[in-house]
Amino acid sequence: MNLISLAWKSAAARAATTILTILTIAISTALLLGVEKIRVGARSSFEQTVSGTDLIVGARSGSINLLLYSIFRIGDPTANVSWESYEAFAGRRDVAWTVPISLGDSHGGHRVLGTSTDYFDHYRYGSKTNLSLAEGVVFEEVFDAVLGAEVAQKLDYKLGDEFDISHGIQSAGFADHKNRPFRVVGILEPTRTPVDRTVHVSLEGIEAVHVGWNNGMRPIGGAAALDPSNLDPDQLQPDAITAFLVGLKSKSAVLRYQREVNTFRSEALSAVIPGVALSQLWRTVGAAEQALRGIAILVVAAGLTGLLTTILTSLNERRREIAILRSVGAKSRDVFFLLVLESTILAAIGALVGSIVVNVALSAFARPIETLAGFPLGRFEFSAYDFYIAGGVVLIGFLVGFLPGWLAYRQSLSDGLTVRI
Amino acid sequence: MSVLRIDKFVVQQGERLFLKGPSGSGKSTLLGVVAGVFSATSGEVNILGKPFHTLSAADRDRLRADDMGVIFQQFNLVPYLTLVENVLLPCRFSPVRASRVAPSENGRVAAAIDLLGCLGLTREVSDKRSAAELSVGQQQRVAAARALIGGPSLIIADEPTSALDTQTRDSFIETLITEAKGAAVVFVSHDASLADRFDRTVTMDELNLIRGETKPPLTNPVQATIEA
Repeated sequence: MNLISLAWKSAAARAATTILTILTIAISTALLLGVEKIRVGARSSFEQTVSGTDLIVGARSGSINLLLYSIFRIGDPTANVSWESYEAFAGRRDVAWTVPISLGDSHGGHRVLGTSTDYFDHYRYGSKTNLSLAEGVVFEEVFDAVLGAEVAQKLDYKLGDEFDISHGIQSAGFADHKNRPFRVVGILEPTRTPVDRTVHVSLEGIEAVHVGWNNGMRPIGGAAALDPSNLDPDQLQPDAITAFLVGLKSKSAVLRYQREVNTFRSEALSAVIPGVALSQLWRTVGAAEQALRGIAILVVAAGLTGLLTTILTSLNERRREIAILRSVGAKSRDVFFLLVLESTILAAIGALVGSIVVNVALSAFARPIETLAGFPLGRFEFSAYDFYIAGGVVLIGFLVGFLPGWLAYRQSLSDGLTVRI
Repeated sequence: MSVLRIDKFVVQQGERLFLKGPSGSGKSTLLGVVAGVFSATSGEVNILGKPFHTLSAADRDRLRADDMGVIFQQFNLVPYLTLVENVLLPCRFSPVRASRVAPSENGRVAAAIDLLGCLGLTREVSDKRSAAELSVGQQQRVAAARALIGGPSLIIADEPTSALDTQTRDSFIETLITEAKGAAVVFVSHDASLADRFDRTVTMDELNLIRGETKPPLTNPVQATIEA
């Protein structure tokens, strides 16, 4: 039986207060870890969502808003970009590629993205990783659709399944594009980005379902079933898109291209550099992040103060126990370390329980949290970060034990072998 | 402030000494000095041939762990330890004493169980009762076992029978003296009726020059002035 075992048995003998103390530390550690993991996960997820895109061009608006609706499918565009403007900027000699995107419809709570097949060739995420198909092919026909991995899994869609899309973000019976069903021709590999939660169709498909619609209102009497082969190609030519992604041949052209978009006289447009817009986003949410982190740290401080209170409260009732230990040869420093060990053990168990709870809870509830947040939060798993935070809690628990340890040390010197309480 | 001034206090090896005195006369302070928990501010204190006044606190702690057994008035046991763990507590702090009991942990556990058996606690051990489930008399016997384990040279008992009834008290003293074998015993009590069970009786008034001012001065020139 060593000092650690003695410290543990002493704590275990006061089971109720020990459990409550551990619980307090566990909850506070879980809160701090949870906040940090979600914060880091969100940042990482945002930063991993788009790569290799030099500029995003949309209607004149704030750069954060443009970034959020075009890449993260959060919020709505203020206006569209005319097809003529798109063609003007897409046709420039310094442009390597462009990907038009058209948003505004949805299916089963998932955004429908109208785009060209260039999207599958040029859109990159993470470390410039290309999108790849888990099964099927990219769309070729007007009513073909390629599903993100999460859409296919959630809605249990397979290749060949057909579905209608709705006008707007939420499905509303009166705004469904009925009689114009899309057919699943491809399902993408998971990317842990908003792509997973997107239904991809062609720009022509988006135009086709809106044939006969006027200002967002369905045709009187309902839309008739369409045979795309009978449609006039002019009807499928988009008038406008929501935004477009641009890849330039040379990075040195980025600022010039951006300036020319921003000063384009024919239409009020904005061009944003994704990395710069993300930095602006972090600056905007930075204060809230710091406040949240500060609160979490204060909660941990409260938990550790509870630990200190518990041990200090027990000191007086343990004077006899300490006198007995002294009588059998325990040194005053053994008494000191006994209290420090107890504090450290409780902090360590609390930190461990908190780490396990937060990781299990975040893994189990990742989907609902992501749904609530509106964007992927990355993978929740044990990382070095957990060890730093849990280690920090244990270290502070160790230091917190110095005060009761020192008091017990002093007490043991004055009490000697006789304790009169 | 000096609370205790002793001209000379000697306990022989194997001697059973009865130390009596009223409350507040300095008995516990003297025991603290003998056990090495308190140190004298001047003079010499020799315990088991070691000059305590020159030893560090850690060395005094070590000597206490190796060669002393202490029994308190009451609340003698660490409540969260089993009876056997309580008995083997000195071995935790003294490898010397542990090796005297038995070379292995299993051997030490067996020795503790045997000793508790000798003190009439076989059933309590086999029932795995906790310290809190024992009567005060039984707790004192476990404390005696803890003091006796490993054959210490000096046993200090600070009013160990004050909470016991007469029958239990007599049985306890008899057991303690029998099991102490060759160890010196310093037994503190203010119950003068117990004195005839010991080899010699010393009163605190005889020892403490501050309180026992009516006593003639002792002849030995060595003094120990103790502060606590």
